[in-house]
Amino acid sequence: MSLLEVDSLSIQFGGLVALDGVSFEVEAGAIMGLIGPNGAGKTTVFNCMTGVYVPTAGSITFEEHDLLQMQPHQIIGTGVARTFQNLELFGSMSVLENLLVGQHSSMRANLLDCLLRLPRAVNEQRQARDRAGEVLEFLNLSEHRDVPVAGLPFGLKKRVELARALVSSPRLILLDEPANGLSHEEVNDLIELIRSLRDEFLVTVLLVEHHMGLVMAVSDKVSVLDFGRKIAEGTPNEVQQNPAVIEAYLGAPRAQPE
Amino acid sequence: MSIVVVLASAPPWEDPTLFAQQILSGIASGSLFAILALAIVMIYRSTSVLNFGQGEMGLFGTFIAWSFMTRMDFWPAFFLAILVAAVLGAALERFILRPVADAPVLNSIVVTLGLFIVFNGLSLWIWGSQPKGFGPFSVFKGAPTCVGDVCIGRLSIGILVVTLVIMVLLYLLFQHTRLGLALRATAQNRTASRLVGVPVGNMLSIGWGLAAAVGAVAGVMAAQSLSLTTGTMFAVLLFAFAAAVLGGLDSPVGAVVGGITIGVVKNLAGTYVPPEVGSVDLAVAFLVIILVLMVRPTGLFGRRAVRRV
Repeated sequence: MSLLEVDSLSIQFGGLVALDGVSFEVEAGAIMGLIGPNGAGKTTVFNCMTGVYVPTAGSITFEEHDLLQMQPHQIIGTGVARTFQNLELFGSMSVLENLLVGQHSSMRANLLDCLLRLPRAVNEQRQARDRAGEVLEFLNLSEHRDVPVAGLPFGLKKRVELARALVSSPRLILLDEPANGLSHEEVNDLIELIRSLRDEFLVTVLLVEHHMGLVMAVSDKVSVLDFGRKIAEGTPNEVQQNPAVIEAYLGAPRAQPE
Repeated sequence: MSIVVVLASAPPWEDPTLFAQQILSGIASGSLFAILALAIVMIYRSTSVLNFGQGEMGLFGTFIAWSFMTRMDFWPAFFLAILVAAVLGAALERFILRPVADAPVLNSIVVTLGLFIVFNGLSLWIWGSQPKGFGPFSVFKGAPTCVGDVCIGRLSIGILVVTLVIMVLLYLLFQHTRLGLALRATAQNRTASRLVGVPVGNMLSIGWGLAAAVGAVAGVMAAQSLSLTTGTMFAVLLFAFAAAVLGGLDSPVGAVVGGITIGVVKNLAGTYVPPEVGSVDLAVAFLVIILVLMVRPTGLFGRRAVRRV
């Protein structure tokens, strides 16, 4: 059984069919790309998986969990974390505080433990800080630890969001356009980073991205959406040569005169 | 011809004791506004709702405390009433405010105005219009403490201490507990909060419960200095709102500084403006607010929202 199984996922907004029977699977330990022209429904898939939208039909199974039966705040507890295309950070909190909130789902101390500074709360707090420190180190964010997030440049904010997803020790991470707004060099670093997410953090990666160079370089498998339907799936090579994909991106070739 | 300004009392340079006394009393009565302003700011920060019902919810809690006091001592009745107020506040969020949370902001304002009227009406209906004898109780009773000729009553000291205790407790809660961090996260970004596993609905209820508890404390302290009737909290609410706006609406520190500023200005106006002008303490307090807001539209401690366009 695959780590993630999305089966016949459909969602409509009013008369607009945003997803129409989309199915795909992600194997544990894979890096999978989800691509398609603007409005193809890529981010909508992420929003269905994390409980932001409720699909009209279909199922999403992560390990043994039926994600559609869960409240949005329960989903991270199963091991699914995500980043957003347009950042969703806690702006006036410091980088460290963002990473502490990021571990909310794995902390247990209650109010009394915290106010009375019971050992269990103190230990848990220290572990959370240590964990945040490791991730900050890994993403080269240590020097920004105590800075309010709102004042950081865009590229750093994106890394903070990734860090916040990573501190929860997810087994599947959903990256929504991580290369958006990055410079050429930063994209090269990102390729290495995504590989090390899998190889060092043992996280399976599902990636929505417009930057083809990035997607083709890191993905084991690529799924292509167009107007809410899956039109192709395969290795980066297979997908690049698929006529339906070329048509979706470049338009249909003109009928040749006979 | 010269214009002679006649003050109602001797000016500060001739009677510094009176001046010091009025400042001190102003700080004490301002603390009362500060407590209620804190409750208003807490709700505004976490839910972007201006709770016009905050004062009357506190009044209702104070009447509950009064009822408990017919059966027990002050302190158990005090804490029990706070607990009831907190549960009530959380229930109001869950069942009254949440259904209109996604509606335009005017709807929630109308709902909180409704809370004002409902809780005032309920208090009148249950406890009647006769003023209730209400304290001062236990430690808040006794001879004033004097340094030289400047004196401060036990109740005023009590209100100051209670304000400080509330501030310290809120600070510890918000800065040093997991719950506080989750409450702050919810106030800033609900989508992201849900994503990292914060049960946002519960946080909103807890936020309202906390604010209602703080509001009930304000009511109990106000009733001891002003007596307990269904009109007790109205003036306090006006000044508390002014304090919250002066402080910047989303800043707890601003609420306290705003409350104390307004308390002092109000007292000084009451002391020095001649009686023929009329009772101007309210007008002068609001004049100060208008002047401050002209210079700093976001209030003394408010954050300016910057949006990239």
